[in-house]
Amino acid sequence: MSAEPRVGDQNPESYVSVVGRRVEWVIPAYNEAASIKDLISRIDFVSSGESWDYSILVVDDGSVDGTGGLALEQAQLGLPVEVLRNEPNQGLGRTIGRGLRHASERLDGDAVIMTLDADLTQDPAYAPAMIQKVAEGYDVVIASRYRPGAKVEGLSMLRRALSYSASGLVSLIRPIRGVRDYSCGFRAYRASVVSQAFAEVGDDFVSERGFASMLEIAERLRESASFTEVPFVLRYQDKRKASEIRIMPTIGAYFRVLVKVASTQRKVVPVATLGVAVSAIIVGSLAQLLLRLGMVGSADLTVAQTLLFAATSPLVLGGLALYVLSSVLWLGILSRIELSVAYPLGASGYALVVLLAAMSGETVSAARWLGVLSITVGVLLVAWLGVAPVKKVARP
Amino acid sequence: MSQHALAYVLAAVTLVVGGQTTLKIGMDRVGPIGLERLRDPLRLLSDTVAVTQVWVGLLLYVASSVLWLLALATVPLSVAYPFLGLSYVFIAGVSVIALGEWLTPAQWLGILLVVFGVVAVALG
Repeated sequence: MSAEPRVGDQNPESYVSVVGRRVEWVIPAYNEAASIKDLISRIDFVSSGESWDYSILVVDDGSVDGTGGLALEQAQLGLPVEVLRNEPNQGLGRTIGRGLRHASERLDGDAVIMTLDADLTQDPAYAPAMIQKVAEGYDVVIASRYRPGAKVEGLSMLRRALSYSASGLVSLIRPIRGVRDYSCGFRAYRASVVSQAFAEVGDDFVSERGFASMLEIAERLRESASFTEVPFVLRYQDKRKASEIRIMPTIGAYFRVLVKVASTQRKVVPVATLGVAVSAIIVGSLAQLLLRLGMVGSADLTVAQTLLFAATSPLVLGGLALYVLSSVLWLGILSRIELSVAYPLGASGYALVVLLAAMSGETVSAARWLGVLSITVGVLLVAWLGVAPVKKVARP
Repeated sequence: MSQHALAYVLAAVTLVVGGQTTLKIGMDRVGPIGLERLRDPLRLLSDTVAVTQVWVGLLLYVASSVLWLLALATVPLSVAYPFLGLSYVFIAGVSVIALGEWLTPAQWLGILLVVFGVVAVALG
């Protein structure tokens, strides 16, 4: 992995000015009356020390505790606050989606959209470092719980283990370069990648209701955006009301997003092509068996004698003919599909060849079967998952 | 497995990777082979043999086949064949070192499994 610039690494060459950049804060809020005013004050405090212009868009998701009204009180004090209201409650995904759309449609492409939770667990003080990263050329900057220097405070071991496993699982199955924390809502987006996503898929950009919507957004942007992260301290003890997260539905939603995105991106291999590929594997395996059967009995010969022995063995010649046939079929496949799709089909060949060898009388020990199994799974992992496109980070 | 046989097997696997890669580059130059191109096999053949990489790839294949036969003279198929799994390790190595590509954690795990499997077959 190439070296990424470290947080706060602002030597003169890498420093890109953020002066005059527009920053819009999008805050989804559901019954956050206890926190919303303090959060707006903190954002104003952090922003006033910076050279960018800012505004705040609170998306009140059908709160019944007056969250929206409290936010508007801050507007009456002269702060640049605006409130959108969902009626009734529609969940985090729709709420953040509405805010992102509203903001991206009126911002110019180089503006920054900051999103964060309204419950004070995510400190706006990290925003300057995140906005700096956008200025340096990254499209999405995530405040990450899984970078050196990050911490999670005030959350039970179980909840920590669950979120850690969820992100770990995503990293294993469908990693996005530069991302370790897939579900954290504290992010900075370049406005242009958000407006482009809405232009392409409309409100499908965010369709999940809960925390999985964060994973969904990252997945949808995987092709078009460059990602990076800054470590931050999640202060869960600062939350002023009880958490309402339901664990099992959240896990279910994660899988739904992964399956949905993976199925829309999976390459389709036509049946005829698949048939040719399977034939190539079977013919190739038979070829190997004939070659070995033909070579049996030449063990004590010199190299020259061995080659002469091979050249006069009908089994070896037949094996070579099948080998050529199999290779020609395989060549036909190679020009039609990527190696990364052809290889996994070939992975099954290991088991097939060893099976044929065992049927022909070779003794295959349990350890060797285990080895063959391990190789087959290994080849599948190396080749098949290689299909996932990996975007190289665009550096200005 | 004797040291000679092991050397034959490993050399054959290396040459297969070289052949496969070179042929892939060559066939990319030939372009997709669809039904209409198959209707004119002579033209297709002349298109194919005009690409140097196809020849080099085939030559590497022939060389690897000779070494493979020398290996099969003494090594049972069920022991020799699994070594071909190492070709994926070699290709991944080339991708990382020469092309600067990025492997996912799952791909690293796959490489570990292949190496473990080959060792198990060799010692088992």
